[in-house]
Amino acid sequence: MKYFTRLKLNENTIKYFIFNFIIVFLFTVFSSNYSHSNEAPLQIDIMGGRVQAMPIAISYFSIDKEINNNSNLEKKIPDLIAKNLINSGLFKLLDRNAYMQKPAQLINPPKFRDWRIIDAQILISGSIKNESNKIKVSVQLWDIYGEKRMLGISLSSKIKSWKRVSHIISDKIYERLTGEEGYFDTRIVYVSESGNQKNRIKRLAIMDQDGDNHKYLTNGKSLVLTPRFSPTQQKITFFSYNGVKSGLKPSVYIYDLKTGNIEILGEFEGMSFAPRFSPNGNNLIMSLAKNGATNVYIMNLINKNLIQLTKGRSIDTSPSFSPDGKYIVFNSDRSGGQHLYIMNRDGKNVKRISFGRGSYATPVWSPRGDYIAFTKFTRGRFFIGLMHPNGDSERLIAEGYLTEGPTWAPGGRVLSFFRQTPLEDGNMKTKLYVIDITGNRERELNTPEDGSDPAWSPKNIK
Amino acid sequence: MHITIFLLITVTLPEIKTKEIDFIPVEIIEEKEIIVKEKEIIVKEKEIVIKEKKIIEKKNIVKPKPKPKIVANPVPPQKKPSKLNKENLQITPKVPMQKPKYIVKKNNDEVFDDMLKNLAENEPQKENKDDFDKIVNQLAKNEPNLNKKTDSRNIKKPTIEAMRALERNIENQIRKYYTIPPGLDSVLLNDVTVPITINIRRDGTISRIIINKNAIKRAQSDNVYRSFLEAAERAVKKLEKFKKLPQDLYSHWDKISINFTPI
Repeated sequence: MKYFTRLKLNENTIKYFIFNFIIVFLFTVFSSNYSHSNEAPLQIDIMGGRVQAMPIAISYFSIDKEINNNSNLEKKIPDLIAKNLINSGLFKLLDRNAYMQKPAQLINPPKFRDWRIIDAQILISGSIKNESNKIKVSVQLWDIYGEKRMLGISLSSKIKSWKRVSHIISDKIYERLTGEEGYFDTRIVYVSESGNQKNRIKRLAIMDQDGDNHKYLTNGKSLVLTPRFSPTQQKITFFSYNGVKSGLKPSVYIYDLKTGNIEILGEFEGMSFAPRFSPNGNNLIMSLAKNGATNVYIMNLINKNLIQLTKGRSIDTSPSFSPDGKYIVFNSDRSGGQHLYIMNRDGKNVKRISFGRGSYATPVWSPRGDYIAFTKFTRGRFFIGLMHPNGDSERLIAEGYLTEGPTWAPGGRVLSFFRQTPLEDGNMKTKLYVIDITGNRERELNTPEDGSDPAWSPKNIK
Repeated sequence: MHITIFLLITVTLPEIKTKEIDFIPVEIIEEKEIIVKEKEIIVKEKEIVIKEKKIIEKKNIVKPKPKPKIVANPVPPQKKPSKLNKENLQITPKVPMQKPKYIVKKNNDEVFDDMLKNLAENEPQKENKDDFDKIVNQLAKNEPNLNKKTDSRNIKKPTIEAMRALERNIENQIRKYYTIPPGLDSVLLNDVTVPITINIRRDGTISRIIINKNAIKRAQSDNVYRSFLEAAERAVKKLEKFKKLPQDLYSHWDKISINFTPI
């Protein structure tokens, strides 16, 4: 006390310090004991799990009696949703005969226990209501083990748009379950091929991503190649021999899906080909062959200003923009072999990114920007491959006698390409295929005739 | 000295608090749902235009359930883990060291390559399980035997082998129900570990699932991670009850912390 008094501290301050010390001391002792009595829980690390399709139940929907019974929408819509999800390869539809609850019972939350019995992890239920000459489709996504609703969505449309409604709902479900962008509400434009190999008729055709709503866009009198969608508008650019008979050079054209009009991009000194839109749709990059050299050019679609991006005597072609529009990937034989290169959008800072054996061609930057898909020819076979934009992690995911022309679905996790296979009669079978980036889920796309050179549309541009 | 202790406590107190609130029950996951209302689709002859009249983004907060779901027969109420530990300290003293943790963790790129199809490679796939067993056996050989140092009182301590067997047992039971989520991004993400802590009753029934708060936060803004989190949670819920766990080691498995890493 005398010591504290010498320090000129009053009695209250001293008591305060002593009290604090006791509290802290007790707390220290207590917390120390506490921590000894509570050992850290046992630590288990589960590295890797089973890879298998997720078992889902998609019940038929309940439907208002006022809606025409012949429409069968209560079955058609869930069936189309199921078809989309199963085609993705990520889901497995459980047999509807095993369902213990009927569609009408699923207006209310489901009895989760009933669905666990059949090992459903996810349940999709829905209803269709009549709403002044329209249908209102409501869909619920249920987590059977989590016993919660994961998604509720309601769409209104005319009855004849039921397919589009189903695709949009499929996208929403896919996005909720995988965290990735859906690609079901999209279309694919491609070159439809018919006739024998000598007199091949090639027409532009368009269809939904599942092969439905198929339409021909050109009549087949002129050869067409490399159709590409505009990312923002209902336009397609392609290369065609249209007008060759009347003295025009083979050239790049633009097809307006709204009006059906086709117009030539421009009269150039050389031959223009391999066109592709920029991400904002205002520019178009392509190759122009003149005076024995092929270089990459960019054209402003508004003022038609044309700028040369690459220079030299080599063949620079198949340019494709990065999704942010800052870079362009293309293939060139400037180093001797045909390889992939990246440059700034103004043509500067050209870097080679492929260094493997064989020839690389038709590079396409993924919508996410994380991959570049390409065609590779090596050891007498064609492959579809992927690599990161810096050239790392090259992988080949599909192969064939002639496998070419990769195109990305929105979301950048699924691709389409075409494969030509020789037949016993000497002819060729050319078909479109879909595969995901893991290379594990390849399937053929149904087309009325042979098909090549697919181009996937962005979402919601119909 | 006292001032040092005081300062130490003052500094560490908030840390302890953070650790406590780091674990929150799964029941209060906040979920965002998007409800699209009156999305009208007008179909014309040559074009299809979507008119979105109203898009409402609704926050749907799942109310906390009073009790976690128990499917199996009810069991007598359990004492709190801390008390149980105290009791067990007298009967079966704990191993005087940190619990062994044997993880054979592959390099991310290596695992990534294993998952993907690459037509350029023809090498057979690696047998992960065999590798694991080999390394575990190797570790067992190299691990110093703790019992040598212990006296007669420690005979009932769980041996490293017993603990290892327990871990393998638990891991195998969970793994059976753990399916990699359907998303494809798993092959791209470097850190997709989902930490889940579970409380287990003496009969093996899972009484509580606790998801790390940071994981929940991340899942709210990262849709791909959310699918991983849901897959991990689903695995535990599907398991529902552990079988044949050693009762004498209950104090070691009454609470388990699991890290789910899909690749």
